[in-house]
Amino acid sequence: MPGLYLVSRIGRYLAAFLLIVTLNFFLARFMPGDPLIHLLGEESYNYLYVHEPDTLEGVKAQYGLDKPLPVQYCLYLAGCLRGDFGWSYQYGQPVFAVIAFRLKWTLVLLLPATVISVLLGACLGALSGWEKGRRVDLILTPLFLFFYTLPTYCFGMLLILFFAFSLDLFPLGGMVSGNISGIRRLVNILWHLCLPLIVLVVHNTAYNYLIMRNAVVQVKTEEYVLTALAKGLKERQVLFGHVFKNALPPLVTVVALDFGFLLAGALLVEIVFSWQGMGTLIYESVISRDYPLLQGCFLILAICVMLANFLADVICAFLDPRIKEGESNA
Amino acid sequence: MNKKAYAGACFLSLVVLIAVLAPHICNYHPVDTSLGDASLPPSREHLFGTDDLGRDVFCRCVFGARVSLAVAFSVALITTAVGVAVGLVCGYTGGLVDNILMRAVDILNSLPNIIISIVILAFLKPGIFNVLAVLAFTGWTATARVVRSEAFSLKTREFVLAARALGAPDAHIIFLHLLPNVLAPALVAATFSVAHAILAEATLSFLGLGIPPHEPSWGNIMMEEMDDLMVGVWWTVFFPGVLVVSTVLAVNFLGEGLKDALETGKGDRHV
Repeated sequence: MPGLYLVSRIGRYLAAFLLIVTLNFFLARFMPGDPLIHLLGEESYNYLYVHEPDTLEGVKAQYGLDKPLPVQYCLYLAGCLRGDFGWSYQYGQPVFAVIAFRLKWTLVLLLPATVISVLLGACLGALSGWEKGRRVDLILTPLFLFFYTLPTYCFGMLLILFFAFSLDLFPLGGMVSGNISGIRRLVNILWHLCLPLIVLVVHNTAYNYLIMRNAVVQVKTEEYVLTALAKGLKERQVLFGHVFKNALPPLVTVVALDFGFLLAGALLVEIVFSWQGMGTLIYESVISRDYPLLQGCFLILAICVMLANFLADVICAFLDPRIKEGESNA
Repeated sequence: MNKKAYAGACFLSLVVLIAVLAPHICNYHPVDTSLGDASLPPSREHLFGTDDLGRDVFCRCVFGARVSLAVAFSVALITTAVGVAVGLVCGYTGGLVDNILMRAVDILNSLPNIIISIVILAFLKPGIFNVLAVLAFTGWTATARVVRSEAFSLKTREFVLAARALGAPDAHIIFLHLLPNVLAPALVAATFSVAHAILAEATLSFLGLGIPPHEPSWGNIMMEEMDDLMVGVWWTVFFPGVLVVSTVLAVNFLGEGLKDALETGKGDRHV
């Protein structure tokens, strides 16, 4: 029953969500100093502390910090479920509103990168795995191993230096130039998108490539591949008709499971290219010590990662009949 | 044995040697500024050039190797110790303890380590100790998983059954029979966690959350000079970047080689 399997997965994600909320809750309350410092920001806290201690008490009551810890916890959890992640003192806006705007731009960068790199990585990886030890493999594997190891920010900075600074082909950073609209704006955004997208595509392709290659190397030794070859099918037919299909579920799982990994890569790329998405938002909130914003980002990213994982579970449950059987036997 | 593993081991030893001998290799002090020599390109005088404060980038990289490697090896040591302990207990006892701890592993794994580290470190003061603690906290799960599955299969082997039949206490079986047999996979996992920790430390320091700036590490050398990139100063980013990548590759090759040598015919983990 895939249904039962998915329900158990949902339970696991709920537990993970609860754990993250709990971590967030305790981080703000058990770190050194009054938790209000983390909620209001150091400056306003110090001002209120010196000049208006009464207001400070009021604020404390407003945040429920005068109540016992379990009650505080329940209030916090209820707030999170309503989408109330608190107030960003850097932006003077609810955290949720700030994040909603920024998340969009991260997805603009991340989704095309993921699609391109999955396709590219799967095809090249399958080819290399099939031709293991031959020329394609010997050239591509070390190359992608290198790109996999190269930190995205490092690669990004070198691309900026070469293509933006020296050759002046692309902008140094940012997302869009001002004062344009319509189709020109779209083109302008794409122009800004090029370099960060290249960095991400190369990095993620490297990752997908290595996984797909290993999956194909394993599937290749299965008996049905030998059978297919023995009955006279062409190599390409066997590779794409038999091997590729069976090597795909691990790739799907890994891509979705490591969505967080890809996301983290994207966040760093954003910082290097001043792309106004979640990555720069986290970076800014760390620098300005805007803790509610930082924790909100953390929570939203965690939810995104878990949704991706869940999607992978669903896809795999339908792609791979063994999962259904395995679960119903257990 | 594997040529790549040898090459990796040689390169790694070289980096370690350079880090150990840092004060004897450098003509300059890594934090000495000399504004007259700011942003000089690589030359015979300054092998890797100088940064915007006139500090010698080569010296900073050499001293940075000390910090980066020390962090990486300590993290690997802690995560391996914790991972082996948790893995053995989970694999051997099974049941509720196993269930709880493995769910914890699942949950930690379902989030990007780097994001958890950023959030925790944002609340703490930057410093080597905090970086160590956070990287250890997020890093032990891989080892625990490997050791657990190993202990799980060992537990049903004849020699363990024999020991139990003879009335050996659990502690005896865990320490004398299971531990020696999981050391090989644990060593391999430890190698990969060195590689992982080098990258993670560089990333955190790059974000300004890792090693504080007065203590050069490969990550914060890159971070400090990111703005200079816009005026064409490439050497302050390029050289530490090359060091990070080549060291991580070397460690990974070594790990792959160890894996092939120690567990032939087993193991199907990807690169």
